Amino acid sequence: MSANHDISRVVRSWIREEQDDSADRVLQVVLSRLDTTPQRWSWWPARRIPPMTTKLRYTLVGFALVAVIVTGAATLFGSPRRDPEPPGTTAPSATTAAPSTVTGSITAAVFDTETAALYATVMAADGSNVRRLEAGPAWVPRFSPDGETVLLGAYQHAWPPDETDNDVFAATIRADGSGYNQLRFAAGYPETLYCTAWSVGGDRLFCGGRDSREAGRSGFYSVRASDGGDLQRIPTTNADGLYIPADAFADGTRLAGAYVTESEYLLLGDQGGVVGFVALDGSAEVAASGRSMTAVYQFNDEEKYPSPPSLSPDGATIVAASDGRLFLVDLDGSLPVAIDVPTSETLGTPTAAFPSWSPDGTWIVFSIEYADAEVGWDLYRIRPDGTGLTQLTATPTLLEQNPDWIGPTR
Amino acid sequence: MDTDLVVRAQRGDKDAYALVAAETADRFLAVARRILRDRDLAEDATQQALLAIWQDLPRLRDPGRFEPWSYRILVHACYGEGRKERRWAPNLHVLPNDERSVDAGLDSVVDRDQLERGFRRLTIDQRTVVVLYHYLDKPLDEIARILGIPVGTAHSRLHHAMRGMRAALDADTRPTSREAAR
Repeated sequence: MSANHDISRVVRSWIREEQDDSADRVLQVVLSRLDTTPQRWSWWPARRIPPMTTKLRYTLVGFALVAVIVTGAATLFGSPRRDPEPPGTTAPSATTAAPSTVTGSITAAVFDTETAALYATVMAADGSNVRRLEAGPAWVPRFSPDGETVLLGAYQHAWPPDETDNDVFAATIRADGSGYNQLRFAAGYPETLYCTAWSVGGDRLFCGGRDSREAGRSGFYSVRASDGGDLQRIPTTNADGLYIPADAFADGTRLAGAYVTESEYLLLGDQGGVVGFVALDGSAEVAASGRSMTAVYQFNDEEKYPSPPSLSPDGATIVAASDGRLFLVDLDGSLPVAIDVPTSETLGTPTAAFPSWSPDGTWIVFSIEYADAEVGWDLYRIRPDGTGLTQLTATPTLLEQNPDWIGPTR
Repeated sequence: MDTDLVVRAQRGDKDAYALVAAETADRFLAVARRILRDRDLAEDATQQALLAIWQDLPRLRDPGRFEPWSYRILVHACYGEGRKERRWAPNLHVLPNDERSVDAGLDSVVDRDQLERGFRRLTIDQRTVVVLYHYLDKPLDEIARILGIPVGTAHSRLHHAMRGMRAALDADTRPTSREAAR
């Protein structure tokens, strides 16, 4: 009794004496987001209904009874019953891919659950005219700046070095499906090298290297886009883990991306890593998120691959996923803000991942997997303020991931 | 909390909600920081909670119950951040000691580092009950309503938390076998 009383007194004293910070910064962010954060209304009145007279009460009850009778009769004898939508083909809270003003093209990685094929597709920005690129595997397909070529953002694996069947998947292909070009990295590249971004001029590719055998070789790299040669390392501070390129800044001096520690890479599936940017000359390395964001996606029991965040066209905001949600990370250091992807009444809670900005910065294309759906990932777009959720693909046996969106004029 | 402000905010009055949030934010951050033991995570949880409260205010049936309802949202946000805390250990940084109050009001045999280590060993469920009880002075029946658990469970969590703290402090002050052999 005495011991418990003492420890309670000590804990109470300690917990009350801790120094507190002002929440002004948080408050500022919250208030700045109110305009873009719609309130959610419920079907019941938030306020109690004021007292009514008996006459008014009977009148309202009478109206309610008439409404119930009319509705019931219409249901029993009225219009023919309509079958529900097949599960998973549409999200009830989303607008289906209807006529839209969006323009440009989207490329995405697709995993066929029936054939286990992994490939890239190119489609119109509204989800129509889907074309499969009949070429090697693609996990993070990315358009070149001119839109003519797609980087099949797979990785090249250098281990074990003496075997000839190493995973060698890094390649580019023309957006029309022709001109498959497998890249050959120069000797000395790290154990795995994921290439997931283009330079502004389109002449080089940015890659993330990871090496579990030799410390100090992890980091950002760049290679020549035409053949994978001229391997160059971009100076970074961390010697282990995985750097994941997202997008080059328009001025060509910096690269946005993510960093995952080695332990996060080994242990985590759907989250881990910070997002930020580096100066290509090594003079700066900035972790903008201040918290962990998704950077690696667990593909199956054995494989995991990068899920790069995406830099907005104005270079001010990175969109990233974490723990099934999307977040906007302003590079000015303010706190990440979640994009509220609505829950579906029939399909349940959405897991959102693989976000990428539209060319004009007004939309984010990404993937959703709903908890209660029997199908996997489909592509959707949403505005940064959480409105306008629109489904782009509805393919029960195909899992669409890691989309990239390019404009019609380049 | 002024109920009229809450009602105005429920109807979408942003100026009213700005006053509600201003009155709430510091306290929320203090509670979240004590539960999560990390300033960045606490700021994230506070921000998420304040935006969630704004979004869901129209669904609050009784504006007079704003405070326990809002604490429930904050606690849920802390739970969400706490899950990440376990996985993102490399990003954690220990809260700085408050040097101005070292030893003030504490038993001389227990220092702040010991308390910090002991508290971090508690589950987030236990830490939450301890913070609501000892920092906010909430009675156990109200804590139970905030957390959506039976009163007995709230009592049990507090009891086990105090036992856990006692055990952690005892273990910290016990000499290691090497020290004892000297």
